[in-house]
Amino acid sequence: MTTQGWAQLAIFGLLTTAMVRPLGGYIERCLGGRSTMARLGVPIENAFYRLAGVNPAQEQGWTEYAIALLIFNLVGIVALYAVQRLQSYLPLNPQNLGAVAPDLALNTAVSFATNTSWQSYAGETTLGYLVQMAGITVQSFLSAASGIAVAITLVRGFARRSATTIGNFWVDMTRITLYVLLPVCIIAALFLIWQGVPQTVHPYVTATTLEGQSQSIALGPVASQEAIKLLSGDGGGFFNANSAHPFENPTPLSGLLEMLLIFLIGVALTGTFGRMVGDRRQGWALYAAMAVMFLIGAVTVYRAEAVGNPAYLPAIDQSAGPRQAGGNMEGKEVRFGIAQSALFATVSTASSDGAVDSMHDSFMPLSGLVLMANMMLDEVIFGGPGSGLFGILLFAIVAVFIAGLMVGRTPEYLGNKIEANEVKMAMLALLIVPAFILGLPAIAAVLPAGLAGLNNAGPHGFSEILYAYTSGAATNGSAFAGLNASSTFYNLTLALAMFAGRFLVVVPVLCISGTLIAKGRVQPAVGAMPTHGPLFVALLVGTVAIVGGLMFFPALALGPVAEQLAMRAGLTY
Amino acid sequence: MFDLLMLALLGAAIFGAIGYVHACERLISRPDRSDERSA
Repeated sequence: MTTQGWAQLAIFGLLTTAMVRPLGGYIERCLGGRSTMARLGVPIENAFYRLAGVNPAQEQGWTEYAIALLIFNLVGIVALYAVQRLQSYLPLNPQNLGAVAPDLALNTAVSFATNTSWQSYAGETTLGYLVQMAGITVQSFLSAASGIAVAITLVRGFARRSATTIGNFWVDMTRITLYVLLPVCIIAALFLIWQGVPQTVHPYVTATTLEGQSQSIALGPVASQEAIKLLSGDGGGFFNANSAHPFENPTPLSGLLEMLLIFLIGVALTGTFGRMVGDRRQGWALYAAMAVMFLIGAVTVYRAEAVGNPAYLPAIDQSAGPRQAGGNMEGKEVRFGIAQSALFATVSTASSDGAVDSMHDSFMPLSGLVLMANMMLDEVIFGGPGSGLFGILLFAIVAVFIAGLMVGRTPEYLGNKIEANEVKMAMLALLIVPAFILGLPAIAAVLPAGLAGLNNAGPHGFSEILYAYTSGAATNGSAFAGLNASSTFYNLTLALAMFAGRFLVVVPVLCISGTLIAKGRVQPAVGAMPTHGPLFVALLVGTVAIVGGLMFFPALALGPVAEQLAMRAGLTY
Repeated sequence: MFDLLMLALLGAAIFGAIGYVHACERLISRPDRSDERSA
């Protein structure tokens, strides 16, 4: 562990914290149509509404909102599936890539429409430019906007005094896309182009190597996809190597920007939450809970990777020095080193992004445990756009419910009575993801079709399967590698995990928004537990840790925990 | 053939998702009898 490594962590933490206030306020003003950008965009916005036949002044109840969201996203799946299957007939395909196989096309369509971006394909050899731009990139925008919209409805549920509607899905989607996602992506894409990321529709370049061999160098409209890939929490790379590829992430500076983009919306939404509920301290409390969990994970991964493999000690010197980076450099890019690779991996799994700048399969088992735990905890550590905020609010509901039981008072959060319906829906949303994270690996670990994809035996092999379904059901999309998931079995079961992990969760969240809004907000009762102080932060972190530990520790014990203990005994897989 | 199967799957998913919304709606519409049970 080096001073430079700690400095990277500190700078990232400071920049992240600095984003909360300005961006949180900006998103809140955009959604209310009060930002300068929103005022300038009114004619464009109205043109969209006229074209779609939407009355922006008419809000929807939670069921209408949910059905609009589901149908919109499911139509997106059909559209993305179709463009992949028809790829060979479509323009902007200079490499003449053929139609994507049906099961792979379904997996990819579900993956991007659910904001997961699990990739069972290599982008540069599978998808043409049109599919990358009009299919993948468009779904990255829309799935991110959908997640933010769901989170905002839940915040409205807590914030509104009394109403019967939770907002207008079409208005929320339009404003989030036009005023939040697009402007940030344009700036980020230009920054990435400056750093060396290509943006072209020309064919791949053929080069002759020093040995005289011919080599095809893949190019494409990378920068424009890269920006939304990170901001949207999608994480699906233009190239197979994702952000480890020098054309996706050329420099340590672009690496820092990519990590900031991944966290940007999740971090900003805590500020938006505080403003919308009329007490910014509430937003900071959620931010503090997320930051504590993030810091624990980041330091654990950094330490595990910096120390290196104990099985090699003392025969091999793994200490950092002028001649070597030290630690566990397997699967890591030299230009990023241990600290940034560890930080990127933690950021990517704590959020729902899933982009990688190093190969998670090569991380120490303890690091693998942290990365999986980040995803298993419903990605509440800033999380994906919207999903992080509504995830932590679900845990907040459970936390105040438990606190209410302990002190014998009616649970209350921000002046909203938390009753049976809210707890039922919160538990439904929180239990669906574990059902798929634990159920599907159990099936894959015994079926020949599941075992056929393994490249490693023992606990590491189990970790590969567990990671894949965790990544899918938690809508993360990062891969542990090592597992060959490009088979019909994995394509279909992972598609199921992604579908359930997204849509079966957002419906109960919207339902909570509806029940809270119907009840209305009252003045907090005297003696109600304050939810803006350290006690609530500790209670929230404790709830996340206990609920997560109870659900996932047995599965983790069979994978990374067993592997870590075996490694200490000199046994590697 | 596989394309038709995929489209049928997606169609079923749309109906299933709408059914899920209504199932959640019914779940929260049930009267809360927990007080009676505990009494």
